[in-house]
This record gives sequence, structure tokens and C-alpha cells, in this order.
Amino acid sequence: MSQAWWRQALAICAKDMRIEFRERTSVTSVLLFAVTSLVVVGFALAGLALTSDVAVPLLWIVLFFAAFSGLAHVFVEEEEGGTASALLMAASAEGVYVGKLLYNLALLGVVGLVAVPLFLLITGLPVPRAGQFVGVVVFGSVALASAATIVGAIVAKARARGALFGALGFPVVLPLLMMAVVATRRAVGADADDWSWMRDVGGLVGYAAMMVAASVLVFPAIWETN
Amino acid sequence: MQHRRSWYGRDGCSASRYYVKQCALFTGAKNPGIMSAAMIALHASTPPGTCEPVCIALSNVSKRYGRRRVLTDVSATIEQGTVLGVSGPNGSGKSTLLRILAGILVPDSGEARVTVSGRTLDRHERRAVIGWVAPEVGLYPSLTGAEHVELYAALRGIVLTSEEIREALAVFGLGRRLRDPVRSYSSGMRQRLRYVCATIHRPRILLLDEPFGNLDLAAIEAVRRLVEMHRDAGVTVVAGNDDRELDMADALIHLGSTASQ
Repeated sequence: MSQAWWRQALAICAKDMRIEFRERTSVTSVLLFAVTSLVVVGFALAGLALTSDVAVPLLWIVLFFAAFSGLAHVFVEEEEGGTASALLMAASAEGVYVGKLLYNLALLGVVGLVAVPLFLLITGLPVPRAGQFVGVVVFGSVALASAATIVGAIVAKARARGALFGALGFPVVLPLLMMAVVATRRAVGADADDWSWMRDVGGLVGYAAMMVAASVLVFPAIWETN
Repeated sequence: MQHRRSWYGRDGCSASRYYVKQCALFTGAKNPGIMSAAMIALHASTPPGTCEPVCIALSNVSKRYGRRRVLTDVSATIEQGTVLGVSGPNGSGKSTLLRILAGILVPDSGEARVTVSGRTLDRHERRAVIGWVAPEVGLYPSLTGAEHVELYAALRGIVLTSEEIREALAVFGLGRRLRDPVRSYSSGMRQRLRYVCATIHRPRILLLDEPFGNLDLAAIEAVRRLVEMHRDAGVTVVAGNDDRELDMADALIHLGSTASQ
């Protein structure tokens, strides 16, 4: 990766963060969804003991919908605002992809910082393997952000955008969500063994690395499509 | 000063008629006092390597959108020092031709080549030497003018001081509004900002789509001076139907109506 890539990626990420800081459109809607979902579930289950079998999928459902409702729109906004062609002229495709990925990671990081503690508070789920839990959530979020970024790029170039989000997102994200749910269940105590953290976190890191590598390869072709 | 130019078009196609027009060169340079110091610094100083000749060659370029044919076998050679005008009715493919030259669109057939010192640049290399101004180029409403210039300079690998950013914006009369968000700009001010962003890297090739759109007389004069000062450094292509825009050109391609195609 050349220096020019990184400079462009950082400039695009900084630009998106600056816009988000001023307009707060994505972070507000994503946080609103995450917090509302968790609070509503918390009220509905008041007084009931929530097992990890039910609670853990709830966490990933919230993170998944938060990611796809906010993160996947970064390219759609560039296309609809007419700024995509200016970026195309000034920056390399790799720089644009990495910049958008960094921004999405930051946004999902903010969501995770709010949603995960709230989830633990509402469900009262014990986390005996805190390090493993944090690792699974962090790398699961990285994998989710990488999937949302490339799906968002494909969808932004399509006409039937709404329909494509579901059609493309489902098969790409389903294996990741299944891995993340199993890994998180182990981290909160179920089915754990001494090496489970390595398998679980390694699987998520592998998914994220594979998704980023594949995205870097295919993104130029997607980005150049007009 | 004489400029060599070679060009041709194919009759009966989209490039149905054409003519070459002589025009006075360097009209702006006759009155250097009207140029601001910043404008001279940005556009008149010759960047390293600009003595290398630049040339655009269109060879039987055709483009369709679905079943609608927009360009058919457009051919032209535009050599350094030439300002080429592209005229034609709405929908005749003027903007499409500029987007093909910019490397944003790929022609269905034919070829658009940009050569610098005899070396043909690929689509990605080409973008580094092109400044493209068009009405459809979007801006970020919540960013300021200065932040736009800073962004596009950074993407081009240029680090500017705040004073240089202010000077760049002052060339197009935006020096006093550099800290204002673009959403508070008028349409003319947005067009001025597009010029600053598109020329911050001193492009060898200027592609100007409706260059005077929404501009007031002062800004039009600034664009004229930009084109005149850029004339020696490279190639300029101006697309539009306004006589004032096409007056800057010394060669003209007229794209025919596409209504029946």
C-alpha cells in the first residue's frame, strides 16, 4: 500500500467525520435504533431471566441493523450528492475504499461503545471471559463494517438500491453473524474451553481480513462503473 | 504566436460539422495588471515538466445509453496550446464527451487517448493531469470553501498552508467566504469553488462543461483569464452553447442532434 493511498484514505475519513460531526445524521439514526431496540427489549423482559442463547443473538441483531442502516449509505450519499465523480477524479479507488472503511469502523465503534454496555446492563448477562468477549465484539464489528462498506459500494451503483441492500447483505453477512453469535456465547460462559477464544477471534479476524482483501480487489471495478 | 493544430471529424455522424476559428491569444496577458498575485502564482507559473507536450486524440469515439446513441464516431486531435470548443444541442453528448476525456466514462467503441511527451496515459494517470469543471460535480454542503480546497489538495498529494488556501479562493472571489459552509453559497459561488478545487493541482488539461454557468461578469472574466493563461501549458476543452464560452475556443466541434438516433 503506497503512501498516496493512505493520505487519500485519511483525508476522506477525516472529511466524512467532519461532516458527521456537523450533521450527525448517521450516528443519530444508528444510535437511536440501537438504544431503542435494547430498551424496548429490556422493558418487555422486565423481571425475566434472559439466557445467553436469546441475549447474544439480540446483541448481534442490533449491531447488524445499526451497521446496515447507517454504514452502508456512505457511498449512496456520494453518488446522490454528485461528489462521487469528483472523488473519482482526485483519488485512487483504494484510497476511497480504505477511507470509507475507516470511517465506518469509527462509526460502528461509537455505536458499540454505547450499545454493548447498555446491552450488558439491560440483560444482566455475566461476562466471565471479558477479554474474549471484547475481542469477539471488536473483531466481529470490524468484519461487519467491512461487509457493510463493500455492500454499500455495490448498492450505491445500482438503481434498485433498497431491494439490493437485503439481497446482497444477507448472504454476505449471515456466516459472519453465525460465527459472531457462537463466539459471543462462548465468551459469556457457554461451551467454553481453553482454546475457544483463539478459534473464535481467529475466525472473525479471518473473515474480516478476507472481506477487506476481496473488497480492495473488487472495489476499483465497482467504483469505476458508470 | 502560432499554434499548430490538427483535427478532423466525420461528417454524417454526431460530429457532423466543425470549423476552426482563429481567435486572439493571450488577451488576458495583455493586461497583466488585472491578474491577482495569487492567480499568477497558481496558474501562470509553469510547473516542472510542463514543457512536455500534451495531446488529446479521439478516434471514432461512440457512446450509447441503453438504446439511445449519444456519440457516433467522434474523432479529433487536440494539440498543446489549443482551446477546443464543443457545441451542440441539449442531449447531443457534449458532457458525455468530456466525461470520456476525463476517464470517467468508457466509450463503447473507439478510443480517447491522452499523451504527455509521447507516452499514452491510462485512465488513472490521465486524471492526475486533468481539471474537470461541470455543473453535476457536487460539493459537500456542510464543509466550508477552505475545507473543500484542503480536501482536494490533500487527495492530489498537495499540502497547502491556510494562506495558500485563502489565496486560491481569492482568485475566484471567495476569499471572504472561505470559512462559510457551502450550503450558504449561491449557485455562482459554488461554481467558482468548483474551479478552485479542479485547478488546485495545476492540471495540464482543463475540461470545462458550461464554464460560465451561473457566473457573474467578474467570475466570467476570471475564467477567461484562467483559460488564456492555461493555453500555453496544455489543452482546454470547453463544452457549451453560450457564444461567450465558445468565443474562447480556436477550434470547434459541433455535435449533431441525437433526437433521431
